[in-house]
Amino acid sequence: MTRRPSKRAFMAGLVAGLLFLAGATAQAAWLFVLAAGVLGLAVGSMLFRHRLKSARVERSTARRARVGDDVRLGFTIENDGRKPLPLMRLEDRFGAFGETTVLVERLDPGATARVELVRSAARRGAFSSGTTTLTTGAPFGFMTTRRVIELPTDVVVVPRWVELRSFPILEPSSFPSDVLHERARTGAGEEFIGVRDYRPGDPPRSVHWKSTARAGHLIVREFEEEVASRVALVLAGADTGEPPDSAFEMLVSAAASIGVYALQTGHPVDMVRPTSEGGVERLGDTDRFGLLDWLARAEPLDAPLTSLVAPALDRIGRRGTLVLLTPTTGEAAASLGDAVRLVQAAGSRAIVVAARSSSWHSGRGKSHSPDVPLRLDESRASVRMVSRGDDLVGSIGS
Amino acid sequence: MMEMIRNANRTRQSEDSILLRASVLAAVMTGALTLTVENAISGGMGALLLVLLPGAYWVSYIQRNKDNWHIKIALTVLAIFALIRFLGQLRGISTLDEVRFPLADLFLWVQVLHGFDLPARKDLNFSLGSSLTLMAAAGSISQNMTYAVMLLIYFGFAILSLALIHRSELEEGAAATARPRRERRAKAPRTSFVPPGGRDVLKALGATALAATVLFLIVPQPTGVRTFALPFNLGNGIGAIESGGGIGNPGFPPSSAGGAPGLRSNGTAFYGFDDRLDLRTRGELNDSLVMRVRASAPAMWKGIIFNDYDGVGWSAEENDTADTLGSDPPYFYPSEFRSLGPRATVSQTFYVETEQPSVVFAAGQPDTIWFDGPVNIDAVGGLRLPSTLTAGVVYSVVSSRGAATPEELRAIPRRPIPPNIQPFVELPESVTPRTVRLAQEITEDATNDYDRVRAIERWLADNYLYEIESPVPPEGQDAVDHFLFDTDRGFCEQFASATTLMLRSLGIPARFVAGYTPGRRNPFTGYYEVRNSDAHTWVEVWFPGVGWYEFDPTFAIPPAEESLASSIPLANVISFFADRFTGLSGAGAVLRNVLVALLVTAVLFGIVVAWRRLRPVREPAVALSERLAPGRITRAFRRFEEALAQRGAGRSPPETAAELIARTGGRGDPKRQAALRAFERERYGPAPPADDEADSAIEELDRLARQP
Repeated sequence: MTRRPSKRAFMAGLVAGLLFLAGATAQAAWLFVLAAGVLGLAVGSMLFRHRLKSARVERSTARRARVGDDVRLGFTIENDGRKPLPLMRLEDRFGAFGETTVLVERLDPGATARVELVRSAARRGAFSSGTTTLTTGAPFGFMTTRRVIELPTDVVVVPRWVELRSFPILEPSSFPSDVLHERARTGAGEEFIGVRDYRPGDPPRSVHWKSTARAGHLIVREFEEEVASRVALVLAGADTGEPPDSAFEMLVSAAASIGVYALQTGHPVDMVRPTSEGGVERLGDTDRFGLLDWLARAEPLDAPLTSLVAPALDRIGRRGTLVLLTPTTGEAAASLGDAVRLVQAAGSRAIVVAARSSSWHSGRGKSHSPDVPLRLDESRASVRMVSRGDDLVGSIGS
Repeated sequence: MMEMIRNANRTRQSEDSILLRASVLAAVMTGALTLTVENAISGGMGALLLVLLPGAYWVSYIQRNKDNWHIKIALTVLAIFALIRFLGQLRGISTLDEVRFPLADLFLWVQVLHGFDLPARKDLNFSLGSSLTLMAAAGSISQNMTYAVMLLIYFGFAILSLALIHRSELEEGAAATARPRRERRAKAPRTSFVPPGGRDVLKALGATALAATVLFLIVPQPTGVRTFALPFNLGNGIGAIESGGGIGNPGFPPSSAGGAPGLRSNGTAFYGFDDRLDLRTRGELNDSLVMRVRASAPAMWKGIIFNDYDGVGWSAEENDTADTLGSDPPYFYPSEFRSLGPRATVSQTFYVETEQPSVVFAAGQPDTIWFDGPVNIDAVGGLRLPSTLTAGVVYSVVSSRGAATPEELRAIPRRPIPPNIQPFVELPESVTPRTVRLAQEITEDATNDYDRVRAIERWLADNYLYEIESPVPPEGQDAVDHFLFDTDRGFCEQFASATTLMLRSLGIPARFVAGYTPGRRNPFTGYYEVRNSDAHTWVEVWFPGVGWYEFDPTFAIPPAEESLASSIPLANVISFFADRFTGLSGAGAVLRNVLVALLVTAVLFGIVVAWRRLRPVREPAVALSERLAPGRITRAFRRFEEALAQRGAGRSPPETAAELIARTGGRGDPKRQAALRAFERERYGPAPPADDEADSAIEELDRLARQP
């Protein structure tokens, strides 16, 4: 808690001094009275102690929000002391919502004030704490008392995502030879394909007794195995622009949109991103909440995509879809061609979503890194370029 | 271009509070009204301004969200007109002092013009601040306590305005207001006519009044010398009673002026302000205010110098022998009457309230006189006027008073008396030998003239009673002899006469002078309020080389060089009570002691309270919520933060713990990351970390804190 005279107090002192000088020069004692009155205002205010220590403040809000959503943000201020709390200004700096200012009326001992506002979730991220500053100079603003309180509030602001109409995730039917191969196994699905000779290991309940009777040896029924291909999202790269309007934020939104689409269409989703320590962080078989929370914490870290592809391929195996999300600058972009080749060599589909970093350049100030050539000409990778201001549905969802 | 001007003039944040605007308007109108009451501006002008001001504020309220560029241009033109008008008024004034009046007029017009363009809080703030200049201008003019009433009203509105301005400041940018809701725990509301916020304002008012009173009492009130701006004017015109060869005294007809045996004073005027002062007249004077004196220091306001004693009274020089001092003010005191040596300057302005005799009252030696009319001087240096001083007359004098120290006066050797001083050592035949012998006996131990004067003063003060209704000397007996040897009682005239004659008998030049004591200084107005009862006579003694010095056996002559302590109002208050409480006995003494004990207790209590309230608060800049008792990892983290702060890299309020660890190079450090996780779990997690994990975290954080 800090307590200090305001500029007004110093101004009052200066005015009182001038009045005093004028009184002494003009032999006008009323000016001494006036000077004493003005100075008395400042000094009298200093005798007032603002007991902000007895203020208990709580911040309440939804635990999860989406960037840009309107969220209810509430503050409860309680006077836990034995003296009244004066008129106060509450300034809340909570990363999720930016700065919020509230006027708190005078609170008698034991009284509680509550206010609820609608704020827009401004930044993606996982927020656990923010500072709240109580300020008062009541009643005349000569002496300002400030108290800074760190208020814990857990809020996860997940990235914005869009409902994609389609996205070229690899389906099993895309590889007929593999389908045949899959059929060689007893499927666990429900679609009846046909009958075949018994192989050791087939469950007894799959024996088709009518055909067995006709053929004279064991014939079993065969069902198509339900194999949904896995999808892995690899997200890396340095940022350009100012969040929330930046290349990396656009990629996070794209990742959220693709991930949600994949989950909706029944594909298991894995997530891979670099860590600040140079390692790899993976998230496997997640649901929508896990996916969005994981993306809420994603940081723009540049790393070669080649180092991230391998762990992702470990998860999806062959015939999966690996979505590489990167801006067009930095190591991630430079390694994109090699990463795509690695994916394709592993028999999976590589889809590139690249944010054109140059479109977020402000055009003035510091120099920016140019876009790196993606070198994907020879590959069969599907490439989606997104630029600043693009509609994600149109850019990646076709 | 026009758009650019409009944008520059557009109000960023307009002030919507009507109450705030009304209170600032009331403060400004109080300032204008005070100037009108103090006659700084005419009544008509005051009425016009008081009508215009609310109109101006109304216009600025309804136009607050517009750029108002056309109003600003019009106001600029009108402000130039007001300035031209002010410069025109300056041509009609004769002294710098009178500039205050057109200046007050200009301030008022600026206030009115500014009132048309007060869109934002800062404009209202400025308007409130400048209203203080109106009150200051009125305060510099005011001579009475009416100003106190206006000042109280002004402070009431100003304080309300300040409270509302502060509320507006706190409210700026606020998205909402949190109002208290009634809880079961809350105390039941007390019945009161004062709103809750108003109670705080009232408390603050009390604290302000207390602080202002204490400040007013303890801050010295030094007075500068204003030789550059001394006012003078004739006020109500030439006096009705012409002096006609002598001193005209409005209180007495010429037949009885100067007093006579058996004559009783009528109480409304001092009979001694005449060519002759009869020591056989008795009677008290009333306390009517006769004049106010604004002076840089208290002094005796001398009016008449008497040089001839005839056994029953004193005579002054005839006015028909007086010469005129120059043709236009300022008049300068002739060099032949001037004293030399160390001098102290006293500037005075006299505001005559009741008609006064045809003399110029002034302290000590009147070096420069500003008087709107001819001033004469008699043969011994007394200043005379052609007619009486009427109420409303204002005149100023810059005087000098002998400022030699007692040691310096003692060191002055006797020298031959110059011819122009010779009349002041002459003794009339009526002075009895026993008077002369008494003077010699009293001063036989004194080795210099100064000590002789002091010895006589002291002897008279110690051995004679001050009594207005003292016995009148019988016909044929010398009045001084009667006082010294028969009655042992008298008043200022007897004391001063005896001192003068005894000094003359010792060959020390002395003269009998009449005038007023300084009067009581009003600590609010700063004026010395001189009343009829302050009329007085005292003695002036001549010392070779340094001239005339004042002495008085019945009244403490104010020192020429006033100490700073004497200008502290509290000292005067204490002196006032001390005068009344000294010499008390019995119950009175007990009451005095109780009062002193209470006063001392109150002062000590005040010091303790002030210390408790004003001492600096030492708490961390960022406080944890009370609901979270800081655990040992949190305390270790705080130590780390404090160490960073000492290195100039402290944690900024919005910075999270993770960001802080990352900033200090801990992004890839597993130990630091582990410490961070432990800290976060202790702060926010459902359960604190295990002991070994906590120990490791504390060790790591303390290691970081110790790092250079």
